[in-house]
Amino acid sequence: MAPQDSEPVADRKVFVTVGTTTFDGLIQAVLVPPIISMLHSQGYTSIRVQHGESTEIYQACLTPELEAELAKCGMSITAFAYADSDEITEEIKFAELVISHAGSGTILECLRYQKRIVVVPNRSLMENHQLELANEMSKQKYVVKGNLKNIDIAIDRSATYPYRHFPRTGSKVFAEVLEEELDKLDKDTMYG
Amino acid sequence: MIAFVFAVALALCILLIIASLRLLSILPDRRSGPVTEITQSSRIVEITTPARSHVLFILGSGGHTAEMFSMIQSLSPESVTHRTYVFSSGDKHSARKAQNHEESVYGNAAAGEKGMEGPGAIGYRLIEIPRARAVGQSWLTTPLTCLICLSKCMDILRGGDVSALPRQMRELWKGMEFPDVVVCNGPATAVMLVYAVYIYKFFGMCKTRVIYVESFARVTTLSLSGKLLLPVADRFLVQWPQLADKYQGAEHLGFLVS
Repeated sequence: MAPQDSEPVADRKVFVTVGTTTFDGLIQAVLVPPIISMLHSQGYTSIRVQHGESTEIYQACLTPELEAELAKCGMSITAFAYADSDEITEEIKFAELVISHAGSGTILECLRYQKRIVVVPNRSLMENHQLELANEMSKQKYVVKGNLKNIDIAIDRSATYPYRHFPRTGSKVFAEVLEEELDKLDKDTMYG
Repeated sequence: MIAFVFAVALALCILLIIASLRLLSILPDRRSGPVTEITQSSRIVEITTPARSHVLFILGSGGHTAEMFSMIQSLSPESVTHRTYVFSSGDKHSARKAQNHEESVYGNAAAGEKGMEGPGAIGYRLIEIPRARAVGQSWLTTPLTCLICLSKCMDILRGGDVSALPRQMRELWKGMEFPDVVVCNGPATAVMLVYAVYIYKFFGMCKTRVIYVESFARVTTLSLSGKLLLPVADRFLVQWPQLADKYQGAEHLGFLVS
């Protein structure tokens, strides 16, 4: 996770993703010159944006000022609308920082690959359980939670944040439960 | 005439009582079941799984499916010899995930072909069923689609599709039609399938046990499927302690996704 001093030319990618939701605010909050400058100062070299249906919003964000800032920082930017989950996984794998909506799938993928993640709940969504998940995950130090108004604070925090590792034992616990249940059935048929 | 009406009423009452008693006898008794204090590492489970076992996995939409395969990735290939994956119509993504899973865990290329080769890999079935409720579907037509879904679920459970399998596979599935365990984690289809299990259980036709796992995304409230299945699942697992505190019968063993 830490920057590799021995490989100064390596691409250090920031992945911004809205999943299958519409989240114009997240794209507009990240793609501004001050944030680009901050990401550059943290050592990142490229930005990859998955913007969903907000193609026009994304293009509107690419103002001359933003382009100038990117050029000054020597950073590149690319984008796409949607991808299937395997491709998103690949994007996450090769990213160093993920700035994401609060979807549980994306959060889990980031934790699996031990990525720095900044989660921004989409408050315009009706389902508030996404917000609950983001709150709880940030309370337990698995993610850094940010909001649209001051996403810079969250990104700044993410650089030195002591992210907790997500346990990898879940599927083993589940395997035990399933075997217990198969066992019970075995006894049922033998004695019952 | 009055005597006749009285006799019918009495008969109905007796039937109702018998049905209720039967229902009580098949509903899970989780009070004597495992307690929530089981720790993740301190247990030694003596594995005496039956030689042949059939587990049915119900796949939902993207998020549910991803969680399901994350959860079941550590099952030992020997422990579950017969596997059925049920996915909603049109959900090619889930179907492909099931195939990928079979390939990585069991080395199976495709159902019915190499599905029967390799150690412990007796075979798997991939079954498509109509959705209980499509996204955005009117609540007026929902009872009808639920009924259609329920009848298909009943058909799957008794192995209605087994006769259509390739001959070699048919042999392997004979006598294994009813799943030993059903595993589900949320979609509306799961509710229908579990209710179908209960219909068969009611008539003593199967002993299938149901494991329900609430989504990792649910921290303080159960999903609608969760609420509907809480009274009937033999094991009801939640991934956040807040839920186990709030709902009686919910079990918390830590995160199950990884």
